[in-house]
Amino acid sequence: MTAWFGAAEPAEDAGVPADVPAYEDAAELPPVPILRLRDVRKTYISGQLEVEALRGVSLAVGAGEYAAIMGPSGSGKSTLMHILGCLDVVTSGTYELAGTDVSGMTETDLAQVRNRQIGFVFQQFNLLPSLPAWRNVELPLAYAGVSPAERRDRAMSSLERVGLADRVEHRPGELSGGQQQRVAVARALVTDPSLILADEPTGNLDSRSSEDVLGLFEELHAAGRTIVLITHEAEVAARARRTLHIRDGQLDLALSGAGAW
Amino acid sequence: MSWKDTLRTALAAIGSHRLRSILTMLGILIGIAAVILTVGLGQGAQAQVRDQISKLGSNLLIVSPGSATSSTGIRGGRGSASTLTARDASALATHSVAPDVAKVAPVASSSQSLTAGTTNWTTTIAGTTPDWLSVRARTVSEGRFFTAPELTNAAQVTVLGPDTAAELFGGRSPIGQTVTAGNATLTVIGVLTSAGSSTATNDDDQAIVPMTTAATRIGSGTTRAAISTIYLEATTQDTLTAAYQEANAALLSLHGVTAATADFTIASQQSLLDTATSTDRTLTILLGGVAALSLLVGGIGVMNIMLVSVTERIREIGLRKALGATPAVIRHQFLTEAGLLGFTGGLLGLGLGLAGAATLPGVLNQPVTVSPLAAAAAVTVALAIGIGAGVYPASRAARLAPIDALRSE
Ligand SMILES: Nc1ncnc2c1ncn2[C@@H]1O[C@H](COP(=O)(O)OP(=O)(O)OP(=O)(O)O)[C@@H](O)[C@H]1O
Ligand SMILES: [Mg+2]
Repeated sequence: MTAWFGAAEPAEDAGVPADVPAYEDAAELPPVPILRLRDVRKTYISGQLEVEALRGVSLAVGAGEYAAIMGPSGSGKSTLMHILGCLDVVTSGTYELAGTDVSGMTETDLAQVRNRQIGFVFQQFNLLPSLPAWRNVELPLAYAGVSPAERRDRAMSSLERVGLADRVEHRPGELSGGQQQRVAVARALVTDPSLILADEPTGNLDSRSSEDVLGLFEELHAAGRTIVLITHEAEVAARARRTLHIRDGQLDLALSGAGAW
Repeated sequence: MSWKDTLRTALAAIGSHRLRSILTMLGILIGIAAVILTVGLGQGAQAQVRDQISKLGSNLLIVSPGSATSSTGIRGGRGSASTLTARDASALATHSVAPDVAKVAPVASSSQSLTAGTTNWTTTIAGTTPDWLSVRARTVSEGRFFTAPELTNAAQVTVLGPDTAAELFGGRSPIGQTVTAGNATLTVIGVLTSAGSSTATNDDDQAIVPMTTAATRIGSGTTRAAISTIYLEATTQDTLTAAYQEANAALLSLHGVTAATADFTIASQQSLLDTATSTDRTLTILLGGVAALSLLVGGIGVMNIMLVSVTERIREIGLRKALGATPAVIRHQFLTEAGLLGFTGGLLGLGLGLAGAATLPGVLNQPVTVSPLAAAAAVTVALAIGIGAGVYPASRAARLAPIDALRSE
């Protein structure tokens, strides 16, 4: 059952039973960086005002890592995630995703990278309100050119994975916040991406629903998925295997430890 | 994303704003219906005129008084001055003068009151020659037409149009009955076969008499009819041009005028057809232009709504881009939506136009012709207008940076 999740990294699947956390073993291996930022800066210009949201961030995240990025409001967490998710471009510095520098890519190439390699979970869920849950989940597959029959099958098993098999025909408005976020997680998983980016996925959820979603992330991590989770809640960050602290657009190296390159 | 997915998404988007979509389509709908009806009316009128003119016969030349060659382009005095005479007609009928003219039928008509017993009926009395029947391509349904001797003798006979016969004699056969016209008592010797439906001039309501009879026995002085038209029939269709030139030369010399001062006009079926077609076409183009303007307004409506739609769905666009929609996919999405609005509006407009084409002839007494080609063209144009109106909104949506779209509230 969990083999479906692990398809991305056969090397880890081979030796580790899916229900055992993989990090102890993984920690001993030199992590292959799936993300690598080198001196990334991001400056927003609004009118006369220049805001330096990121001021020289360098970091790497290895394949199969579960990393949390923590920091106070306005510290640049969302900005960082938008860059990691190829939704925005750096002002200076380089960003390599799976060994490829994305800065030279066209908007069309970036769309394909987002589609194939990244699954997003947003604080606002961002489901299309007019579509039933399974239609929301199959959307990335439609953009990937998968056939309708296969799309439906994969959307159904993805929804089953997040425990919503009995809600597939419900529209977002007919689901609780926690259920909506689980639909969003199902959507992030359905393309079988190597990287899952979550920006405050529990920010709009009560503690029980937060627990559901964080549980799902743990399962995904156990299955070998790379997860980068942004939060300002220490309890949430504590669930990750590694925490990076960001303050005023810079990594706080003292708090983040050696993990930040 | 397959075209089916794109189409389904577009339909869902249109369906989620049903009232707005219907109002948007209404602009296109009205424009297309207006175009179909104006073009249909124009084509219907054209077909009707063409039909009437071709009934005249293809070897026909029509000589009318008045000149068409005035420098202002106005037909100076055409029909008003009676410059044509019986002498002209008999000259044209002479073989040595115009060898390619086979038949000559001058017509002198006046309005007269006919009386049969106690029944009165005012109609057109046309004095002409026996050739009239063949030149005008008419036949008699009952009795006979008058003969050359009757023309020479100014015989007091008449051939009635079917409507005139019915008005004067009801169901009874008029053959052998008498009618009085002015001072003359005429014996009815025949009834014309109906010329078929014709709204402009009633060819079925007239009384035909020998020209001599009209000139000498009916009316007097100023009421005496002048020759309004001389119908000529060429020997064959190939000699039509020769017949035209002969008649023209003969009349110029008879009247002692030059081509520049000619006081008559000779028209052929073809030239009548050309004039009628070109005036009708001008009208059709004018009306069609007005209708096309309303289509343009409809297109602007589609563009307006598509721009609103892009602004409204900016978050949705951002999300779709985050999930992997390329700019091209987003552009197709909005183009499909705009095209669908135009196409559906066009189809509904075609439906309304066809319904109008079915009911209008009864109301306006005008035929409306909608050709399958015009119908297909109208729907295609509606689709093109929709897509055209969608180009700018769609490229705006495609150009949106995913992050700006996602962040907007
Ligand atoms: N589009 C923009 N234009 C101008 N300034 C921006 C823009 N987006 C973000 N900023 C600024 O960049 C800085 C970092 O913003 P960011 O959204 O990354 O913070 P954050 O860490 O996610 O905060 P929060 O926890 O409140 O979500 C802030 O000072 C913000 O005002
Ligand atoms: Mg944020």
